[in-house]
Amino acid sequence: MDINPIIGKELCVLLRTRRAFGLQIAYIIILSLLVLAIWPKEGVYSLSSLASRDLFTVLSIGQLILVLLFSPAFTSTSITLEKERGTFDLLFASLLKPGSIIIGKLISSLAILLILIFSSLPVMSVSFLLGGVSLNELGQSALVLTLATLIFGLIGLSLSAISSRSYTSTLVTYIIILFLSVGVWIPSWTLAHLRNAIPVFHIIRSFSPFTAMLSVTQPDLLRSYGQDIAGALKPHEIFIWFSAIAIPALIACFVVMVKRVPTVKPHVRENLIRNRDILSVRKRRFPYYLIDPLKERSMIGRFDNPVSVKELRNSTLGKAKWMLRGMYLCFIFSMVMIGLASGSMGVWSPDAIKLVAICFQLGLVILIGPSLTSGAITNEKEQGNYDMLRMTLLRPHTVIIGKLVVPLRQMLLLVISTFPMFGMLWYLDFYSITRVGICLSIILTALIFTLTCGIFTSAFSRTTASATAWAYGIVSILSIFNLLIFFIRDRLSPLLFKWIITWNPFIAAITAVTDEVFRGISIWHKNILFLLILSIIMFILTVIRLMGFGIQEE
Amino acid sequence: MIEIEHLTKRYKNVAAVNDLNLKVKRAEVFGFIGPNGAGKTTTIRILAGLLRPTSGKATIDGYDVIKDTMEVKKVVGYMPDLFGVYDQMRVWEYLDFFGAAYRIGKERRREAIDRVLDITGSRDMRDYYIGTLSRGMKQKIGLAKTLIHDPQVLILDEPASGLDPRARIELRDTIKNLKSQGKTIMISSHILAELGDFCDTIGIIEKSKLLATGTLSDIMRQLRQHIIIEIQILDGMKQAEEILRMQKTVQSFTSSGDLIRVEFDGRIEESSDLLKSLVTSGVRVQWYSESPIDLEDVFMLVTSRSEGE
Repeated sequence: MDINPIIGKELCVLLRTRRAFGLQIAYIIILSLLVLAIWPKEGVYSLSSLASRDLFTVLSIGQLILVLLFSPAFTSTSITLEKERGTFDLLFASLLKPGSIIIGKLISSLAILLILIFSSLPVMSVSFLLGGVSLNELGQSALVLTLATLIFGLIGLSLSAISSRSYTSTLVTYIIILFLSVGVWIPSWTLAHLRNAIPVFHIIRSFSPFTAMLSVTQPDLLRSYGQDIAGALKPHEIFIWFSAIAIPALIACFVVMVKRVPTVKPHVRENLIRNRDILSVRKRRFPYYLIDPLKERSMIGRFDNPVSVKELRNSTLGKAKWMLRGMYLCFIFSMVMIGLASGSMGVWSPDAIKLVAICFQLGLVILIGPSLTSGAITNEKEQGNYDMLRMTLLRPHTVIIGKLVVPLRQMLLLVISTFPMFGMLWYLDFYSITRVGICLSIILTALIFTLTCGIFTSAFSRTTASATAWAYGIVSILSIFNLLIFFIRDRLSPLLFKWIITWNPFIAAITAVTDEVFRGISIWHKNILFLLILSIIMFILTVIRLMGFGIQEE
Repeated sequence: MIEIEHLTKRYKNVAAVNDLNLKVKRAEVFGFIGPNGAGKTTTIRILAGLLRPTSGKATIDGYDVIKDTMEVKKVVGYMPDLFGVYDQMRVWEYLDFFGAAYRIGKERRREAIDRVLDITGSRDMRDYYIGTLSRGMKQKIGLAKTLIHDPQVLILDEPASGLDPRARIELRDTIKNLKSQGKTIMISSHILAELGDFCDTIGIIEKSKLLATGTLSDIMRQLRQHIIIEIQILDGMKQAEEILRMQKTVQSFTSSGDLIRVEFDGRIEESSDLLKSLVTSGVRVQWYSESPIDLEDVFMLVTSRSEGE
């Protein structure tokens, strides 16, 4: 039987790369290290031992996070790369039927992820051998993992078919996947007082594969948080139903988008305006000028960083119109959050409201930050501008600082637009300006960290898509992944436990606004220190990497 | 101005450039010719200071391209074969950025932008967004950007590829204009017709080795022992052929219709004598000329000889 040529080509290209090999090895090593770290000290078979269940949970959730981090890297560029290289039309010009192309792309992009899951089965079965976990639970966990992989992968593929650029599709895939994983919990957190709506929230939050996985591995945990409703379907069952609808829908979306005949948009033609008067028009009115001063007709000044001016003039996000829209959104969203939270005053403690407020702002930084700089260097390479930049007299640190300043400014404007939140924190903290200041410092540090992380991965990657994937990977490890440590807290020395959670900006922020959640732990000052040191290290490494900016060995 | 000595660049076991020696004099236009993958771009990138050679030495205006990178950048204007532009910037903003990146002061930069726009004939595009320009216009802006710091040496890698005939002619005129300003220009291409017109010297590279270098006629003389003379006869064809057979300087000849192609091995005076003897013996000659040297002929001869070896 002849193999579908697309599958053959894709698997050949993908699996023989060092990246695919390195990824498989890294994946197994990370999982094995996890097992080693949490292997029960007693080292004996014990049904009553909680160790094996914790091991099971950590491995399952850990795998889910790894799949979450890796799947966009493989799927979201599947079609866009063909478009960027100009080979997309060639595929359709061949004798291959559209159906074969679509099936080929679908299977080949998801194959690598499924290979990763299968190769981890021996590691997973360790928790079964230890006892305390039934074969049924192991099967359910593998099912949830596979379904999550398919959903994440298909989201990436569909966006890849819709977008024209890899960078956009990778970024939007990460945002949607992160929202689907964590964002679906927002209604449960913020609208807890609406008793009648609780079953609806239960269904919505079950769309997250993480809820489903926890419901398989730690059913008691969800119950103890009051997140389980007697008589209703269990979250993992809801998730399976959700997958049964979402997977065919996503496949249909992918097929429709790929089959869509690309047409030249009329506005592309209209862009070829040769009338100087029309072209010279640029909004220079009051609010735009405040946000966008350098768009004014002035030349780059002696003390300006040429790169930052260039970034401001050239980036889409730098356009005043988009910045203002982003700021409106942040402002409105923060007002809505305050409204919802004050409605829950009777139900929720002030501490809980403070937590939601700070987590919203940190979430904003972590969700958007890495993507703003992950294309800083790779975009220049991909668009053919890198050599011309290298030929100028610019120094590496000028380029890096120039590339960091503009997104930093843009993100600061967004954070400032959420000022009603800070007002609320100030009010709830009995007008303590210190605590608000600490929160602001943590957010600023996280911002500097995510932006530096983006430019760092961009300097070391070949494509913006992989730089974005790595940036989100690193940021997620330090802000989401290390939360898993709470499951194995008992088996770690207190010092190691504290050291690991110190990196997490969310925990740092929580310890800063309230003492109720993590009693006796105050890590915010160390978190700021750690993340700033890490940012400085990444900055220095980026400068060293770009030292070859002047002359480069290839 | 440009000197390359024993330059070699290897990627693992494959040589992209092999023991290349080359000299380009000040205010000279040097055409770098070769098929795709011959090693032109690698050589050019080494000269621009973007790539470190495996061995050998290259200097521009006395500056070593590896050690004196900053000085080389000041002297050299480099235009890559494929380059991007910042689509959402206006033409003047784009030039302003590169001017600032070359540390040109604000006032001088303003003048420099006007100057390069004038040279490239794109003054009316000053306020256009680059994203709205056609390919030929973008190429002009790319050249304007290359000239912004007034470099003495221009290295242009395939500047005419993908351009329509009009844009090519305009580019050729711009390069001639730059030549008249005393710039040293190194220009690479695999389209030979566009170079023969304005290059003082050429270098032919194939399979990572420089096969020939010098002026077109020098190379032709090295390659061929004789020149081709074309004679168009109005009347007296048979008589003309008899006279040609008797001449020692004529190696061979072919005739088709009223045209005779003569392989002539002699000095310029002897060529003149041949014409004289034809005319005095009553042959009515309408046209008598040495066949022009064609860059494509030279290239084919050089590369076929290297294959034969």
